Amino acid sequence: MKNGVLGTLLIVALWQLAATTGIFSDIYFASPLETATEGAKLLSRGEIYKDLFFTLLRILASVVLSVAIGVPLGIALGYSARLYQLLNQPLDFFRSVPPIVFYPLLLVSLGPGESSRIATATLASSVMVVLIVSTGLIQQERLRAEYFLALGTSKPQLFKDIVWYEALPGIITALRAAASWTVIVIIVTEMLVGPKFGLGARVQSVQIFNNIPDLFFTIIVIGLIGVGLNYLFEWLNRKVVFWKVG
Amino acid sequence: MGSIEKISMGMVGRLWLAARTQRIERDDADDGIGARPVIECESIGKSYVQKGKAHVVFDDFSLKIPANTKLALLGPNGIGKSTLLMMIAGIDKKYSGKIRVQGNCGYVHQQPRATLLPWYTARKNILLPRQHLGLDIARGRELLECYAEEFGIDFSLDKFPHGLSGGQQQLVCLLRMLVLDPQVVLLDEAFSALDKSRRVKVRRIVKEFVRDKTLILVSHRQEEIAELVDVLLDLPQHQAELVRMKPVVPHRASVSQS
Repeated sequence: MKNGVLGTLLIVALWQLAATTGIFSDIYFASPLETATEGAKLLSRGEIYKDLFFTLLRILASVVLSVAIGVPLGIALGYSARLYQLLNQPLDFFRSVPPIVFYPLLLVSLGPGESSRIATATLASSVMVVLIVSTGLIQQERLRAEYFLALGTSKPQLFKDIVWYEALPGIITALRAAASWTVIVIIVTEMLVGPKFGLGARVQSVQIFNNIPDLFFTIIVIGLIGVGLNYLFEWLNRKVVFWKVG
Repeated sequence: MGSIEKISMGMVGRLWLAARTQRIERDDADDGIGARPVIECESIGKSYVQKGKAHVVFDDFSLKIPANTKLALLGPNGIGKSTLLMMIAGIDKKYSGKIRVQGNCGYVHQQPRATLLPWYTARKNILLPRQHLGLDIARGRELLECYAEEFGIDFSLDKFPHGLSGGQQQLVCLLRMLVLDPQVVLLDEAFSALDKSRRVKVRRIVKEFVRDKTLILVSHRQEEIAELVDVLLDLPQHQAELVRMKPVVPHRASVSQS
């Protein structure tokens, strides 16, 4: 933590140095001070909150959807070798396609509103969730489940007491991956087809109005979303998968 | 308990034939002396592939174990002692042939951690098999209390497995087996991680426990075999020999009366 603060200060110092020496043109560069002043102004005016709120809401919706789709499918794949072999190749293909290329297609079919944006993000991250959850389950010690099955444990009991917990570490990892994919895809779609509010749309508009300090500040806010999500999932991991961290 | 009787391979062959012919007559007539086998392995074939090479562990292997037998499996490492135990327990199902077991098995794996659920406390781990089988949980708690005291458990059963030492985890596995109260007890190096004084104590408890049950033991320790077991079964090194001889523990004849 202490080192983290130090590292951040170092970067800000370098940033300031670059501003003072003036090696970058004002047309595309803002100093830390300018960015901070602009940031304070934006925060007091309040509209950036709306952008932040709507972006977060879209991210949340996509993450929830991709987990709702990806986790059950991932568990099924992790549990059934045959299903895994059947779907592994197609999923791998979908994972290899940059998700944003599906956006135009979904834009045409679902319209320029929220649904196409969220669908694109969900498509991308649910594939990740399926792969991570199923791989996580496959790597589990088979002996535990076999021991209980031999004992006479029923399938529902096996799921409740063993498979679910075996899947949990993978689910947390998948959530994390889904969140970071979703942040990228949502912001890019916001930049491509601008909604009224959203950080991606904001980046686009301030760039048009050439408000560089505002742009810098928005980029920092987007970065902080990622950092915040990372902390959230690390905490969640410690809480939920206590037996692995402990 | 009587003395240990070691069955040589030649003897096993003869006894198997004897047991077999007798059994054909006995099977229909229930003679009421408990000669029916609780465990029956019928021409078991088992092999695995390692580095592209097939290894045959069992080939046409047959074995009948009557009720109340206390049996130790002997033989060098890799001969299939643990594998046979896992197959009888129903954990390893990748074999050809048939294995019939009457009553439920209490199996203790050689690595205590492998079959414990790390997300549940020791107590929950111990009671879970009973819960899954729909057995009386209150009775399970009673048994647990009883055995924990007998064992002299000096750690909290509310701890999670990763917070316990290897020896403590092994005690939890043994407690789980005892609390389940199975008819067939399968122990695979089940005392290996315990310190000496604890091992002696636990062994005595297990000995008392299996008195009216069937026990199959895999152990490297002479004193464990001497204390717990009446019958030894050498798993032969060469498969060819095994095929010819079909080792079988005969009923009664070799199991001393208690």
